[in-house]
Amino acid sequence: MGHPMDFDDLYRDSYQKVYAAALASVGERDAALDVTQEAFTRAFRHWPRLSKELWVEGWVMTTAINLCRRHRRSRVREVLTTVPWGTDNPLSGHSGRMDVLREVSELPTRQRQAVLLYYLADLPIAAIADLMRISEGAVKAHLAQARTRLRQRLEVVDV
Amino acid sequence: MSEDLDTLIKSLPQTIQAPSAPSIDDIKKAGLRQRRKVHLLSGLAAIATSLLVVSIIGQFPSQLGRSSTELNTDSQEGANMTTGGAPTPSPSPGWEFHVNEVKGLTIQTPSDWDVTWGYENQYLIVSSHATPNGELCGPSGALTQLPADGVYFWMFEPKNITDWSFPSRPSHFTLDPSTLGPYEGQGCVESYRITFRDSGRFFVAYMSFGSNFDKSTVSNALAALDTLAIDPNS
Repeated sequence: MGHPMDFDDLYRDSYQKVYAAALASVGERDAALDVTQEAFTRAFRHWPRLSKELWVEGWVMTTAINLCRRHRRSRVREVLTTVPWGTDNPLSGHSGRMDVLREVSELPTRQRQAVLLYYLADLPIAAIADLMRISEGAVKAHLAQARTRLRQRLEVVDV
Repeated sequence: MSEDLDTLIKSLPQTIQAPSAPSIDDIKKAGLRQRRKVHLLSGLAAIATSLLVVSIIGQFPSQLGRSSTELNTDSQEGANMTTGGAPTPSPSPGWEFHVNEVKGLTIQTPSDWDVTWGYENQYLIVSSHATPNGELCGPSGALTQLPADGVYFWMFEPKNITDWSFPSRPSHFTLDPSTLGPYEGQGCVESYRITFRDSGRFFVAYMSFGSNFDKSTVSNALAALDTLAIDPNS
């Protein structure tokens, strides 16, 4: 760790994950697109120094999640049902993942942020604590509470 | 079940059909435009402050009679502002710089917070949510629309102040419960009052919170105020 990251690599490898985090946070496709684009734009703006940081992807995702707070709508549940699948839908007949996205989007703000940074950005607890400006214990608590709530509310389909 | 849940969450990016990503060249162009704007504002701040030096000295002749230790301490406290086109340090992740070259001030806030450079009694307004501003006196209207988990703080420099009883700026701002109360122009909403001096300038700030805020809101608001950089030459 420590060698400067290439922005093109970051963009290619992280766009999908940042978009997923944005969609889970804001619940609207167009808003998620705008937020994702803005988050990467800001990353490039700060790139001379940001490229040397450890958790660049986490920085971008955190920026996107924070930007989503401006756009968050109460119609999350309705909009998520219209997110288009690809033409080759490997999950045809399986509603598990759409329910997961919906339930993640309805988590309390801090729990949702911790979940997205932990699972999508694959960040360690210490990095999440640093990005969220809370203690590591608080991060673990948010994750535990989120998992408990998701398990209680989801009908998980064995895959 | 725990393992299945973890797998489901981790696989979300692969299962969501994201639209085609914008051209990376467009992203880079937009980022460069933002970067140039910040550097331009920093450069303009240096030019504007140098033009105001003589008139500012004329407004505060009493500072010349203060001890050099006291004045040096104040200027050191405010000397963290970058001027003259020096590289701007990266803000914390998810935070952004806001610059006012005329008033010689810079502050960082979470990226999704609103920052407005206003006028006399509210010339710096920071809010965690989009709130109306433009009120001529106090922000009573904006405060009534503050969300339950929100924060709204504003700051100004009272005119013709030479009262060095304003405490020196602390290393980290805190809220003094004894200052909590309704103040003029704020309607029925209570605020904390913070006064401090820095770099020979005197500031008054008010900070109001919604009815159901959490500790992170308070810590973010105070952390934002901690980032306030003051040009001693403004």
